[in-house]
Amino acid sequence: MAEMQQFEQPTGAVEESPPEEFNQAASSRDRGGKYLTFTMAEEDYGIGILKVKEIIGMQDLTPVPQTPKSVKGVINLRGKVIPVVDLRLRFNMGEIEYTERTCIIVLEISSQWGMVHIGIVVDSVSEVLNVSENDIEDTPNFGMKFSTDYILGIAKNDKDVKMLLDMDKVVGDENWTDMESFA
Amino acid sequence: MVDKLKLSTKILLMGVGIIVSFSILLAWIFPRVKDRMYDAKYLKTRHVVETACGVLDYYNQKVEDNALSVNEAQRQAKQAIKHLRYQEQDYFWINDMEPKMIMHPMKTELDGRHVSNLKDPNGKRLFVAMVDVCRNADGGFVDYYWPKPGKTQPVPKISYVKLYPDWDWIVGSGIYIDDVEEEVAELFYTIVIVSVLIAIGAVLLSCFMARTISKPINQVILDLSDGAEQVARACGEVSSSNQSLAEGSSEQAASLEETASSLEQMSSMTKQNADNANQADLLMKETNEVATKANDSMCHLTTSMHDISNASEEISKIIKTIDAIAFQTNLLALNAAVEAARSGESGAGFAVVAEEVRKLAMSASDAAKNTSGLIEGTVQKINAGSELVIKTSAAFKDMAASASKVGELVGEISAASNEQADGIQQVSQAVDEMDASVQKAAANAEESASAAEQMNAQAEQMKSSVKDLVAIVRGHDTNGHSSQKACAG
Repeated sequence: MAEMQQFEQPTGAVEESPPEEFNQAASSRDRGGKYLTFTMAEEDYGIGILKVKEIIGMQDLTPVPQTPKSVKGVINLRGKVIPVVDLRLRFNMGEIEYTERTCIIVLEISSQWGMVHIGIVVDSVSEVLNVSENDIEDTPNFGMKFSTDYILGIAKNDKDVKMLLDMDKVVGDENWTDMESFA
Repeated sequence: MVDKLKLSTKILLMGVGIIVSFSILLAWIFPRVKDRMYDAKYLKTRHVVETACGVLDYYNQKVEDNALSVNEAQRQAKQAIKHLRYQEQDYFWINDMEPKMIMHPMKTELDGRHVSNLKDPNGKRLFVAMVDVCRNADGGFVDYYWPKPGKTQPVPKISYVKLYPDWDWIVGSGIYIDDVEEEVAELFYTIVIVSVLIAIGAVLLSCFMARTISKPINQVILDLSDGAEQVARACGEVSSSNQSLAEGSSEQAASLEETASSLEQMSSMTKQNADNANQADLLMKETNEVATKANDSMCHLTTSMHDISNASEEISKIIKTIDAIAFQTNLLALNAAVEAARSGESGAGFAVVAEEVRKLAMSASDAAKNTSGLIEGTVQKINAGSELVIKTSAAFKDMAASASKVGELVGEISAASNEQADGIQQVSQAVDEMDASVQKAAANAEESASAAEQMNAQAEQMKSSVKDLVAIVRGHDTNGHSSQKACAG
């Protein structure tokens, strides 16, 4: 259950948001708002800011046996033990060496056990973007039998597109093994 | 003049001379012999007559002994003497001092006649002469003409008449000169025949001797001539071979000269080579020094660059730290933004602050990036420079290696040049030795030539001696040249 957020108008280098318009008849939700953008395999992704609890730099992970490959291990964050998932492996993008820019985004997502904290390893964290609904496109249908629920939409600006991820679905327990089967 | 005759002629002349002198001797002796013979005959006649007178003496003795009368004694004496003969038919006659023939055994008609006017065919009154002779001396010789016993033709005769003073008888007996002449002639002819025989024998012997002497001499002459010819020819050959040897020697000497001069050139070139090699060696050494210096400089340069590199690394590290700080700041800013967003309305201002902090962090990060970029650029340039240094160093090393090699090669060239110089020295020595031996050969050729000359002179002398010998044996002609005609001796 994603919480909808009224989007603000902060001062600074935040983009001007266009006037509110419903430009998608099928869209019944407002996906605009602040998104934390990060990079993975040269591609930009976004996560709703409310899902983000914390961003920390890369730390040593304690691997846990008998876990899927994408589960790299656990970390100790100020006394709390948080599992860390490598998003690359989650998306089957291939594993790379962690750099100094590699970060762990600690997410606060809701799952069947309630709110859990899960960290994801990303290549780098960019910024907090204010994205309006107008800039978000729906995920195109690739015509295959897999779900693209974990993509909220595709935010576009002049230069590029960022895929906005629904982290609940990404790290939610239902789709783990399913997602991993897709290369 | 005798010298100009042939040897055989000389020998012959000798024989003839002996014969001639012998003949002359004979001719000289012959009259004396003849005279001696005559004298002997005369003496014999005289002795015979004196012997006849002895008979008279005997009968006279008888008279003195008064055994016989004078007349009887005279008559017996006459008879005795009448029958006296010697030499078969030589007789005695007796005449007295008138002259009257007292007894003549042959012409008995004359007995008792006066014979003073008896003349021989030359008109000589022979008995008168006899009387005259007996008157002057006791006896003597008378020569006249009287026929031989039993003949009528008067022939020359010499008689000895001796006076027997007691009776005044003249006893005489005579020899017929032609008898003597006959004897003498006999002797003469004997001598002459013997002489002629001896002469012929001597001439033959002379001829034979001449031939036996001449022929071998001729043969010897021929042999000597041949020998002289051969010697002369051999001399000629030796001379010609000497000539060619001398020519060869001079040619060899000339080529040796050329060789020596080329050796000189080679030697000087080798020296030049050695000098050049030495110079090259020095240059190489200098180059090596320069290379070493350059190497040192590059080492320094490399060290400096390493220092710069290290400094850059330090700077990089610092930059990294700054970057890390910026990153952390960014993270903090993001976290702040997240908190601000989660705070909702109350966090709006904080979100702005967070944004600003993020921007600062970004600019710090950018600055760090720029600096990092600059540092990287510097590092790259350093690396490039380092590579260049390495390349240059390698090039210098190569150059040093090449210089080393060149140095080695030059060393080898130098050594080879030295060896070459030694070799040239040896060849030069050998050429000198060859020159000396050529000189010796030339000197030997000279000596040989002079010896050949001498030999030739000797051969010529021999020839002239042979000519003299020929002249002796074969004789000169009137012009003084030796006769060329062959002679059997």
